[in-house]
Amino acid sequence: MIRLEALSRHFDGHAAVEDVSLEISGGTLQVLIGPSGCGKSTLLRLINRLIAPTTGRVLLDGVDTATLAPEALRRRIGYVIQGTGLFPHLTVAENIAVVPRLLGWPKAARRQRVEALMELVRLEPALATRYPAALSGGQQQRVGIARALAADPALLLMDEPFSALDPVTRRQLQAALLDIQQRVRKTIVFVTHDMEEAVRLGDRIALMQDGRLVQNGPPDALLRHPVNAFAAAFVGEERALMRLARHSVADFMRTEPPFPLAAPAVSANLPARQALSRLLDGQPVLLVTGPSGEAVGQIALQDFAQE
Amino acid sequence: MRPLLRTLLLWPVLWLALSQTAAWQWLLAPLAAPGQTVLFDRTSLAALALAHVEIVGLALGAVLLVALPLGIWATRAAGQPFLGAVRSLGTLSQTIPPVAVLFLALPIFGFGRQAVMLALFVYGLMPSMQGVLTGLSTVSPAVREAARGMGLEGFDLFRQVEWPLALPALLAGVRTSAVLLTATATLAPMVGVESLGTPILAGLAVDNTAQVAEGTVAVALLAMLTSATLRSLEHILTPWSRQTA
Repeated sequence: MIRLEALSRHFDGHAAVEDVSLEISGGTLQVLIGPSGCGKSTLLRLINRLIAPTTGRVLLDGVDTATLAPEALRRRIGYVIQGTGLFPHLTVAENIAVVPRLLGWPKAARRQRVEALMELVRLEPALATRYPAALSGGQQQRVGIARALAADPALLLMDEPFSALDPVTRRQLQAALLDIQQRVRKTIVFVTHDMEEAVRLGDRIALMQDGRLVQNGPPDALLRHPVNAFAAAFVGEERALMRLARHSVADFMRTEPPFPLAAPAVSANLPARQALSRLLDGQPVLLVTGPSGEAVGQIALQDFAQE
Repeated sequence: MRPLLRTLLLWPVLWLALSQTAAWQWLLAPLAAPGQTVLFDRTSLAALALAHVEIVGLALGAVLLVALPLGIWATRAAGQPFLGAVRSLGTLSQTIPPVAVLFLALPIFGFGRQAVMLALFVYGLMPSMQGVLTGLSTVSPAVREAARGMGLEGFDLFRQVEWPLALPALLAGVRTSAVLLTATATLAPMVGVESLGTPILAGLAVDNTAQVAEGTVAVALLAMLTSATLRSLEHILTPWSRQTA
């Protein structure tokens, strides 16, 4: 769906992005991660041509983006940035409708779209007429996501969208994004410097260093088999714990009876980290229950050590 | 709309108040020395106020005619190298005392309106210029980036994002200019042009406190109403700048 071919961008002789080739298939949430200045944000801006490449091409559904008018290209690509960049002088509804208005949608269609999107990102309809300044940071970024999705683009670019939020709100928005992605299935390129966020959200994670692509693959591959010392150091000593972010209790439980029916019960959907935390708190074993509360397994500390 | 309507309605009220000669006579009589005429009697106060407003309006128009295009140009990519120069020009123009401009203009324009216009224009330029520059150059980079990322460029970007976001600072600058000009236009009679300064200068010449007060109070009322009107204009043009969390 998107193909970056030998993409480079130099600023005054310094390479911000150097020879990056990457293929992102449709419906994938591709994370770009790396330390500050590694070129991940520049790479993102090369995709919607806010920055033009020095060499190389970007192909969108097989079409070289250099052959398209940049404004028209950007209206087809959703863009969400850190600190939202919402227009303070427009109401929530007007902010969301910016691109549809640019594309000349009739008023009724715009209003319908705004309503549908506010529902999708779980914003109260009453907020439609408020200005961004009256919203919390989390609500503002929900508007930012709704605005990016307004014209139903196939591709969504997100540049550290949750970095400025407090940890609780950040986790809520990460969950909201996963939930939205499950419903609308966009191709998303998501820039972050937070490994935990990358593992939690990414279908694939591309690690960058000094403008170059170091490693690209599913989170588990990056966590288990970092290709070099830099990748191992970036992933960090907690990589085993991070893998848990993508797993639920069901992935680790033992299903052979008998079950410890007297032990505290947890849902099979509970994030594995939370179960681990309760076990580390001194609970020797937990009973795992299914959707209707029936016992389906058990989990103890040693179950995390397997695999 | 409401606040603007309210302040606009105050203008005929001010006009009526300035026309109440008997009331002014009664109010200011205690300030006049025995034998002095209490009120300036060659032209009515209302007529002087009208002349005053006209001078200020024309000068403010000239200020905007220069400040807006110059400020917009200096904040575009093409004019960016001159941004500093334009900023200094605005500041410099306000350091020249209007009285000095009036007398420097005399040999060129002679007595009359042109000299007044020049002095007021020079003196009133800075706040508006500063307002335009501040407004346009402080649009948040994140907002600009988001706008460009959504496919807004050039005139669209200016009209839909930069201009509306510049309005609060811009209008505040214009309001300061307007108030400054209202006060400074009292110097007009020095070069033979009637304004609310006429009774003030006439009163000063013959030591008539009542007439000085007559002009001063009228100018003060006019300045306050001008300021209030422009403030309510800001209020309705930038509803978003008031609502906060």
